[in-house]
Amino acid sequence: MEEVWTLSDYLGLIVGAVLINNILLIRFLGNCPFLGVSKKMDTAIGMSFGVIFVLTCSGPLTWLAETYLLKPLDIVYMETLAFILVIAVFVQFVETVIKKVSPALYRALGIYLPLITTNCAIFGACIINMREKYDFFPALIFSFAGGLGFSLALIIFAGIRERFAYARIPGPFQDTSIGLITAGLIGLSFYAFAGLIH
Amino acid sequence: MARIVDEFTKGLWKEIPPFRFVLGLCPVLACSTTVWNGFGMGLCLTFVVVCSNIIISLLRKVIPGQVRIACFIVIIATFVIIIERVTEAYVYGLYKDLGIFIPLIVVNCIVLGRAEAFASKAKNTLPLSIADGLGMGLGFTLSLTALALIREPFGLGTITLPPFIHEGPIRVMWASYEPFSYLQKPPGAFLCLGLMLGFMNMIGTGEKS
Amino acid sequence: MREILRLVVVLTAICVVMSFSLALVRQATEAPIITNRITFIKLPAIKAVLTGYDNDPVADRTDVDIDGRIVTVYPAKKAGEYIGFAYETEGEGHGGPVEIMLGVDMEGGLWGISVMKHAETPGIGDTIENPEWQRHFKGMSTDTDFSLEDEGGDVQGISGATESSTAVAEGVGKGMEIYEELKDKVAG
Repeated sequence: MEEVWTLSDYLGLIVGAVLINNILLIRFLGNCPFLGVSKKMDTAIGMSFGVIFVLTCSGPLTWLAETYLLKPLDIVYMETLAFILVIAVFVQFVETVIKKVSPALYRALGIYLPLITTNCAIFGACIINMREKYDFFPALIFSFAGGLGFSLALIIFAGIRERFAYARIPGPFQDTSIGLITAGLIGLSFYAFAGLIH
Repeated sequence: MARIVDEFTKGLWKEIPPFRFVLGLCPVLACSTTVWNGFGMGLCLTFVVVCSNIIISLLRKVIPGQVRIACFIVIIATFVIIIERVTEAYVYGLYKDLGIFIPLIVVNCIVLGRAEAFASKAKNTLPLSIADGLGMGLGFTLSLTALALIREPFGLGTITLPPFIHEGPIRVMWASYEPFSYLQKPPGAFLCLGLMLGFMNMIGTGEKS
Repeated sequence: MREILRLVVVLTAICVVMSFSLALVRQATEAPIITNRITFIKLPAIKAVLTGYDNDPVADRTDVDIDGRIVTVYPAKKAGEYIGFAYETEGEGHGGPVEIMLGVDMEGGLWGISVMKHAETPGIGDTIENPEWQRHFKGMSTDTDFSLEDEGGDVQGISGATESSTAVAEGVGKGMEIYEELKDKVAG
């Protein structure tokens, strides 16, 4: 069945991925780096760019792999293996290119790239594309929007966490613990967006 | 022998994931909505980490350094696919509830972490690697189940046991209990985990975060 | 040179062994998985359209070739004897195919229908989900004229959802057309 997507469908997809079903705060994808790099704003921004770029490319790449390789060969059950290989190879490739083309960029962003390979958000979004049975273009948009959503949550979080340095927090609750509690409260505020799409 | 016991027990408290060893958080938050989900997810991950530790440990002297991450990924992904098929075939309810988080085990930092940091090291023999994987996996299972034991009774008023023990959720709260459904939703998960982590730090003997 | 050779050999060997094991596991788990998938998606509809059976329609399912199309038939039996069948049919709706599960007894009488999947307009076309309306198909048979009353047929139309209700009527009609052939091929 050929589904035709209208502009409002795409808008809904983007709003859904960024705000309502935020990939990090609601879908729980990408939490490890979330807590690790959100202590300072510049690391958060670096990671954000990395995620948006890798995700926007990996989504379509894995979609192509599934549609033109796995399905015709009837090995869709090997999706997990195929996807992680595509992502890992792609990230390795990007890292090599950046190193050669712009050492400055590599120094700024390069360290995040291996971390991104094991980022649940990347792999997770690629799998979601398949489970939701998106066509190529919606998959691309969803991947991009997912990256945006992740970055939004990460940057908000980093902004708040930077202020923790000035707050007096009881010992055992420092660092990760208060981080998680804050994430919960931020996530709660995202629920306000649920009414945006009927 | 004492060493084996040490490696095993460190995963159960001193370095318990994800509290002490802050890795592999995604499934902890997503899969602790019911006790069976939490416990089941933990078992799946334990299966993967133990099996991959075994294979990687057996091959540790053979796998060349430059391609080791690629090899680890292939080996880990194989076991993830196996557990995916097995759950879809024999515990379909769990498979549907855990959803994308079963394939996500392949990027779980715990699994890759143990492969890289422990199983592939020449000095760690096979029994040690098995103990390490088993300890970490069971520790993870314990954490997940503990979190679920808060989120489900208070969030839904029930406890769900594995289907081969008891079909369907068991009411554990008094009849007029209004479930604190916030706990079942994502923000509640974060909050719960954060509080648990804080308390664990309070009573823990390990270094404070 | 030797290093690279070793890299390639080890990597390839691992991939081959893993792929082989995966293929084995896939074989072993294929049957239970297909049963589970069917049960999860189709069983509610199957249960809605069959009555008085004591077997497992999903476990007893058979595939039948009708004009080159494979139709999966879920038989209802009582004490080992066939009492009816459930099978799927399809109608062309406003937003795409409308998937319908039919339950028919041994004389060609409709036990009931269940609309499983559709892409009709919410609030307008999705009134075909109305159980009351679906129930009025009960008792129809291979002799029924499966077009809308407005066209001289026996199927009640839904006001404002002509295209959607026609899709269902069409689908049911097509399903009933193949009934005799299906019955012969399954129950012999």
